[in-house]
Amino acid sequence: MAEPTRRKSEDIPVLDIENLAVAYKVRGGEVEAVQNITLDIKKGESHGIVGESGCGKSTCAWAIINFLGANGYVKRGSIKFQGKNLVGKKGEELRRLRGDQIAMVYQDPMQSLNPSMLLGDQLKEVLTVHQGMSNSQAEKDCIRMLEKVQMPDAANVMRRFPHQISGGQQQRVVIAMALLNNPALLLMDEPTTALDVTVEAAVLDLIADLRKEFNTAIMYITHDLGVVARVSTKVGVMYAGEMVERATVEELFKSPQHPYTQGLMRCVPKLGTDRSSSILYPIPGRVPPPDGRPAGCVFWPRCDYVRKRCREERPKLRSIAGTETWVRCHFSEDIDMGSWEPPEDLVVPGTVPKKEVDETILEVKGLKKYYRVRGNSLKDVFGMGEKQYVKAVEHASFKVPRGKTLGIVGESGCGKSTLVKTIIGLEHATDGEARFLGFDITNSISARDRKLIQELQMVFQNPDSTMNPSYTVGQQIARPLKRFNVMPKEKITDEVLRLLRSMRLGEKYYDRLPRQLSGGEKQRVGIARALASHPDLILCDEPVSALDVSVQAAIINLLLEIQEEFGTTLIFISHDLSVTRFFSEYVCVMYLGQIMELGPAEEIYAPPYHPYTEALLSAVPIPDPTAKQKRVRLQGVVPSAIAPPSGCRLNTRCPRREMLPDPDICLTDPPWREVHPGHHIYCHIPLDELRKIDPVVSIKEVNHAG
Amino acid sequence: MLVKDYMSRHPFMLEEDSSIVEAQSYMSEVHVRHLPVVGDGKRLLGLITRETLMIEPGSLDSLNVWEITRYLSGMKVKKIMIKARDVITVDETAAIEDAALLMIENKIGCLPVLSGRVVVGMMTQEDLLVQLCRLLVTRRPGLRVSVSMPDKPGETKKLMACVEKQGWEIQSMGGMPDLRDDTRYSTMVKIIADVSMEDVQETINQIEGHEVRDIRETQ
Ligand SMILES: Nc1ncnc2c1ncn2[C@@H]1O[C@H](COP(=O)(O)OP(=O)(O)O)[C@@H](O)[C@H]1O
Ligand code: SF4
Ligand code: SF4
Ligand SMILES: [Mg+2]
Repeated sequence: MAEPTRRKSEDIPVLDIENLAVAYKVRGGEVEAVQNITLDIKKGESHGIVGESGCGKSTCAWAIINFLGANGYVKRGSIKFQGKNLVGKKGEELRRLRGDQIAMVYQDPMQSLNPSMLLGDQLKEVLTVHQGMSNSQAEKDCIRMLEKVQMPDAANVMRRFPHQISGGQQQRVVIAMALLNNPALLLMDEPTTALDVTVEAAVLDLIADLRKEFNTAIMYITHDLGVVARVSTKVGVMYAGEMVERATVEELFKSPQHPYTQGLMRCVPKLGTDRSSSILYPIPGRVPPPDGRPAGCVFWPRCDYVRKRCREERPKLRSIAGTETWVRCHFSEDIDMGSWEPPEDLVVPGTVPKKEVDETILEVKGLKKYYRVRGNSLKDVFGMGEKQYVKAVEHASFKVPRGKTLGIVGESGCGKSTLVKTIIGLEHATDGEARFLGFDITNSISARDRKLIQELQMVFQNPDSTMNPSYTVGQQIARPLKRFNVMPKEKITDEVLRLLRSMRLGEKYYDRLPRQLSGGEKQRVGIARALASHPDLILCDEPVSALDVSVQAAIINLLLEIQEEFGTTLIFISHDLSVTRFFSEYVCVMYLGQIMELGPAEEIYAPPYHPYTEALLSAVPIPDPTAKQKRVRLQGVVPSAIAPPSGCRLNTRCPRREMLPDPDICLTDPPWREVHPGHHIYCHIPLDELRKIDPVVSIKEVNHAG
Repeated sequence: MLVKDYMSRHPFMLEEDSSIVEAQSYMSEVHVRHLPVVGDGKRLLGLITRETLMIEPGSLDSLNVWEITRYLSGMKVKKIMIKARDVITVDETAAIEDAALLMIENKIGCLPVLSGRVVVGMMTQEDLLVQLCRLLVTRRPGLRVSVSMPDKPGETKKLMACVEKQGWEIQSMGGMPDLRDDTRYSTMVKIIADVSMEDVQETINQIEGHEVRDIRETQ
């Protein structure tokens, strides 16, 4: 006898969207932000929605709860929740559904929290006001739910205000609040995008557990293929307002059918695969705006397989025979991802190994940066309190050889940005040495020689913040050229045009204003500006974090190309360990102001690991649902940098401390253990013990994109 | 084995202001026979069943077709539902056998499952049958053996020890008092082993007072 079959009523999806189109009324007409969306989510399923920004992911979620704003409306199709059509439902019933049965978690937790109300009161309100529960019972239930979302010190958190806890904790409170109602449907729009990988990993674990325990149907929106591989059972890929592919998570990653899905997979580096096999291939062009979509297939202007029919006839979402996969492409059966060849005009840098050079361009020794802070007590206000310091960078030492890239990784607040700001001279070092081209650079920028400033440039995460909004692109790039007298005045325009071309922007961008550029284009201008003075060293602070994956790949390739051509040295800060690995020859892992491990990239990503490196690697979402990844999670939260733990700063959270016969030794400074010359680990655990630890990631399949 | 582990979570529900026409079509749309009616915070207000929706044809005798339509479309769920205080419910922390007893004693087919006053699930007779099935079904081929033994402490242990000694694997086991003989107890064991039916029968019959009443292969 087999398992009893599921009953008909169990097969009715919690959410069933059919042929949905949502339009926004705009000046002079309306735009259809999404079209022809069909999907269903059953109990206990987690349906990922992935795609680049502007593809209409959020619009789908908002349509469900009718949060489309004053100008948005459902133009066609139906949205059934538990078998009832929600389209056109208003008033009481919709409000009750939204409150009691459908919950939404946004990227920014503060969108759901009241800043001036105690967290405990906000949580309890859900139970006391709506469910009529007594205050004391509600208190107990809320604490239990906070514990379920792994909130440290739950009872205490109840008596705090939102701003008194970290962003990751706020997001957990929001998830706990959503779950108190035991919703049948949970909509999550990029809920971990603003969080550190370690926190993200914990939240994703939690979502997987909750889905099983509460049998909740989850719609999970993200731009991150790694995240989608980890949380979803099914995935829908959106492009330009349409769903172009829908499949189980295994199928989607094993044999993506739509050229766009295949292109996305080629854009992202994958941890665990050989570095040389993971060349990034950006998708040319960009997502068209809703009012600029081409006739025929929306993807054709960017598709490598486009034919006549694609330009004329819009493909329907159709199922691929013998699979559960749906795809919106005329020719997917004929397309074999394995035999894809990069277009000939695509420049793919980084394939030739760099020349070995011995010259050290930057050397930092015992560098320290403390920020003076004022406490809140009355004494402090009158300047009588004890002086307090944020110990942002402690005793950092490393060398960077000319022409190479040093990647710096670590959670937010670990001192990455302070370190590069000190090097570039935006901050004055508290102590220690830093030499660039043999010159002392512990002073701040105002005291530096102009020549030195010219040789040291920076690219920021958010290029907006450094661009004058009323200057054209041409003027922005010309400024450093003039300032550093790089060339005679009359040649400047030509040089700017040359830089624009090398950024693949073209001359037509010369007269554009920053607001007329997309994120990726702005970042190209930022890079062109940094390059203008022909610097020897460029510091990049999260230069691609705010960009979509296809754009990200293009920018990374561009930086690599520049490096190849000019022999520029790069320092590359990133929270993304896959990107860093792809990009860097050397990696420096920081935690709470301390360097924990430093060495050649290949060695950092393989045992022996520093316990912190191991935890970081274990948290990285890998765009491959079959990848085996060890689960090593840090306990608790990052302690305050004003009073960091003594000895090894990781000792309050270290998952490997118990390997030591006397864990108390971690309260003293660990030794720098040398794995090889140039690879060091800062930990009390002997190397032989660390070597016994298994690799974090193992991927069995070959990368078909390679 | 508690109700909360086996109930259907996130049941279909109705609002008290829905019309009975809506209720009727919703019921057939989602293939259920019972719908809890809830208010704010999913608090239980009542229950609609197939039976509550049966309208006594006699009561419509005096009306013509148009009047019937108007009469029915104006009628709200709250008017005909079984009110919360009369609905038999079970708490999510109850044992499943208690839920079964409640249904048998009250001759009802379904129980709204509550946590406090909030509806968190539904438990139907069918759910219970499904669980019974799961309890007894094997996932691998094996032998299903019914053994009759004296109804006294220590007898099950003897059977277990015997099976253990042979190195056979027990996949599942269940028992209940013999309904025809109150001195005996019937136990059903599922054995997975590379062994013939005869061998099993013979081995178990050797335990004093034990007797194989039925043995068969299962897939
Ligand atoms: N309130 C609005 N008015 C007009 N257009 C909008 C509005 N909100 C979103 N859009 C447009 O709809 C499209 C889809 O946006 P969105 O759903 O936010 O995509 P995603 O979540 O995938 O980034 C975009 O082109 C966006 O500019
Ligand atoms: S329909 Fe044509 S243009 Fe569109 S994805 Fe398929 S092959 Fe490419
Ligand atoms: S020194 Fe101790 S606390 Fe620090 S990483 Fe090593 S084992 Fe962990
Ligand atoms: Mg969005």
